[in-house]
Amino acid sequence: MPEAVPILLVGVGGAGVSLVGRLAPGLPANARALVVDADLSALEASGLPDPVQLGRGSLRGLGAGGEPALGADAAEAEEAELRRRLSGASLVMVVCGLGGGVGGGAAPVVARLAAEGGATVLALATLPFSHEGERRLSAARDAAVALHRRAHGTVILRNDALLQVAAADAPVAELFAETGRWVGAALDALSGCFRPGALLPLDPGALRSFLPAPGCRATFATAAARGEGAVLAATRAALASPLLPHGPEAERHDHLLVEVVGGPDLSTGDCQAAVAALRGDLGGDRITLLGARTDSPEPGLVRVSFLAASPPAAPGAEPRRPAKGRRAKGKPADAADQALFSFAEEANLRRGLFGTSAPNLFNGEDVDIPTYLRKGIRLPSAD
Amino acid sequence: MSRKPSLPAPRRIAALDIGTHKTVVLVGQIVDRRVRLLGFGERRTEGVVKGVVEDLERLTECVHHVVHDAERSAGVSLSEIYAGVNGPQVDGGRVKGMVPVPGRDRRVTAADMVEAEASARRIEPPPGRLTLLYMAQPTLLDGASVANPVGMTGERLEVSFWRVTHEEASLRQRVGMINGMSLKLRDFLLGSHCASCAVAAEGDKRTGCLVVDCGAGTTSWILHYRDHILCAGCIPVGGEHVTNDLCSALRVRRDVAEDLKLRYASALHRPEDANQTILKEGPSGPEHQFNRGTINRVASVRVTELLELVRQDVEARVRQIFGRDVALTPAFLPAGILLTGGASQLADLPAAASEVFGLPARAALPVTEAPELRKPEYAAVVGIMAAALVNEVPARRAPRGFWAQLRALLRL
Repeated sequence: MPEAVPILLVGVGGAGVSLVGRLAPGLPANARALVVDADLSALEASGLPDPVQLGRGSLRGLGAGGEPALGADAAEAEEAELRRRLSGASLVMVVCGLGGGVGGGAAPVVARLAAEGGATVLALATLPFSHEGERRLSAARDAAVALHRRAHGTVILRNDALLQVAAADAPVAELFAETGRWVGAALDALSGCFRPGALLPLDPGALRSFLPAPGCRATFATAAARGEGAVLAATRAALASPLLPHGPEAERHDHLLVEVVGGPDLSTGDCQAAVAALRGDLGGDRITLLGARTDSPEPGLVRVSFLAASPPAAPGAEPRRPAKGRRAKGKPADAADQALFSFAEEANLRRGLFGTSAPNLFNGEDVDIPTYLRKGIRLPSAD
Repeated sequence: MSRKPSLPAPRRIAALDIGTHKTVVLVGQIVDRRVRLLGFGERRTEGVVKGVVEDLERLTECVHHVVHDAERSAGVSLSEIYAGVNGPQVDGGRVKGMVPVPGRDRRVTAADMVEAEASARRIEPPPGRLTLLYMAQPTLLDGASVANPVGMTGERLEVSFWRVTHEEASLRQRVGMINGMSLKLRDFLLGSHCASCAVAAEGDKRTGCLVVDCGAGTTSWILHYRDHILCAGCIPVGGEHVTNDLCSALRVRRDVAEDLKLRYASALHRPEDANQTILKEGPSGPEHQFNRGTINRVASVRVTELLELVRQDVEARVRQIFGRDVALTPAFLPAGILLTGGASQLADLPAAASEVFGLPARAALPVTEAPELRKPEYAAVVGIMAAALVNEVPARRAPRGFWAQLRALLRL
C-alpha cells in the first residue's frame, strides 16, 4: 500500500492567503495549510494558525504595495523561517495571485525554498484581469516567468477566463469563490490520487517523474457529471473548461495525470475510456497516469480532473511540435527559452492560431485575441 | 506598365493571387480581345499569416506548385505572369499636383494636364515604400470637379491620384520569388481593386459603392465614388480570426472549428439559436456537442468588430480626402456595400454589414464567363485576369477605350 503523500498548501500574498484560508476548514487528512503575506490583517483574517509574516521590519505589517521587488526582498529576509515551515511535505502547492507585490515577488522565493527542501512544487497562480491595467499585467507576466523557473509545475489561471464561468454581473466575491473551487479541486485531485485505498492508487514517487524538474508548463481542469455515461460526459466537460488557457490544438503535453472519482460502480473500463479521450486531445505521450477512487462525496456524481504538464525541453532537443506551422522556425537551441518566453507572453496563449505573430493593435487592443474574451462576453454553456 | 508591341497570336496571360488561405493561378488565352480560360491551379497557401509572408521558403514552394498545376492543366508553359498584391503592407494616400493655367485665354491644354499629373507623380513615397500604382481621382478646375478639363477655361488645374504604395523589402521579395521561377513579372496589381472591378457593375461604381474583400487573413476595402477610386485600405483581420475565436471558445481543433464555421456560424446573433444543439461525430468515436448560440455569439461579435474597424478606417480616410467628416450615408454611397472574398460566405454577413454601416449591403460574385470561377473567393484572381487583359490589349481608339475595356471586363 502506498502511503499518503504529505501535501502543504501555501497561500502567498493577498489572493493566495484568502484562497487558502477559504479551503483550510475542509483540508484532506494528508494536507496542511500555511499562509505567507506581509499584510498582517490579511493573515489574521485567514484564521489560520502560525502564519508567516514577511517584512516585519521593512513593511511593518502592511502589504508590499504592488511592488514585487519589495515582496521578494521581504521573503528573502525570512528565508530561514520559510525553509523550516516548508519542510516535511512531498508536494508543496503554492497558491498566489500574480501582479501583486507579495504574490508576484515572494511566491517565486517560496517555490525555490520549497524545491530546495526536496519537495515537488506545483504553483497555482492567477493572472490579473485585463482591465486591471497594463502595468499590473506586465508585472504579473514577469512574476509568472520567475515562478515558472522555480516551481516544478506552474498552472496559470487567467482571471479573464473566470468571466466565462461566472455570470456577467456576478460580484467579485463570486469570481473569487470560483477560483477557490478550482484550487480546491486541484488539491483534492492531487491529495486523493495518492491516497491509500483508492481503486487505482498512484505511486507517490510518480509525482517526481511527472514533474521532473523546475520549469514544467502545466494545465489543470476538472468537471463533474452524473447519470448514464457520466465519466465520458465529465471528461468532455473538463476538456471544454473555459478555465483552460487555450484550445487544445495550441498545446499538447508530454505528461498527463488523470483522476476519476466516482461511486462504487465506477469501472476501470470507464476510466480507460476517459484517459483515451483526454490523450487524444492533450497528449500524454511520455507519461500517462491514471488514478481512480470510488469515494465520491455524492452518490452518482463522477468527477474527472486532469493535470497535464510539459517538462522543459532539454537544450539541443528537438522542438516538441515541429511538424507544421511557424513555431518550427526558431533555432533549436532556443527552444527552452522560446517556451519560457511564450509562457511569459500570456497574450500569446490567448491568440491561439496566431501564436507569436506580430500583435494586431487597433485602439490599443490586440485584435488577434478572440473578441468575446476581450469584450468579456459570456457564452452560453455547452449543454 | 510597359506595353509590348503586339505579339504573334495567340497570346497567353496568367494571373497569380496569393491569399492567406489559398494561392490561385489562372491561365488564359486572349482570343478576339477576350480571355478564354485555359488552366487553373489552386493550393492551400503556406507561410502567410494575416497577409504577411512569414516563411518565404514555404510560400515559394507553394506558389511553385500552383504555377506548375496551372501549367499542367492548361497544357502550356508560362513565361509571364501578373501578380496581385494585398494585405497590410499595402498602403495608400492621396497625391495632388497643381498648376496655374497659363496663357491669356486661360484655356486648359493637354500639356497642362500632363504637367499637373507629372507634378503629382513627383511626390516621393514615404521612405522604405515603393509606388505600385496611381488611380486617378476627379480633376478639379478652380475647385470644381470636371470630367475632361482640356479646352475649358480656368485659373488653377488640380490633378490628384490615390497612390498605392507597398513596403519595399517585401515587394522585392515577391519579385525575387516570381523571377526565381523563371517567370517574368508583368506587373503588380492591387488585389482589392481587381476584386472590386470583378464584382461591381459599372452602375455601382458610377454611383458609389464600398467593396469589401473578406479574405482569410485580411479584409481589404476599396471605395468607388463617382467612377473613381476614392481610397482603399486593409484591416489584417479575416475569416481565420473567426475560426481562431471558435477554437478558443469551443476548445476544438482548427479543422473542427473551420467546419463548424462554414456549416453553422452566422454573422448575426439570434436568441433562438441558443437552444439549438449541434452534434458532431468526432474521429475518436464519441460525438461532440456544440451549442449553436455559442458559435453564433462568438462569430457575430468578431464580425461586428471587424466591420466596425473597416468602418472606422473608411471614415478616417474619407476624412483625409475631404478634410471634414463625411457620413457614410446612402446618399454618399447609393450602391451600398458589396461583400466578396472567401470569408464573405459567412451566413448573414450582408445583414451584419448593413447594421454596422447603415447602408444596403449584399454579397457579390465575380462576373466571368467561366462558371467555376463564379465564387466570391475567386473575385481577386478573376479581377487580376481582367485587368491584365486591359493591360495587354490596349484600346485601339481612345474614345471607345472605356467601353472596350468594360466589355473585356465583363466577358472574361
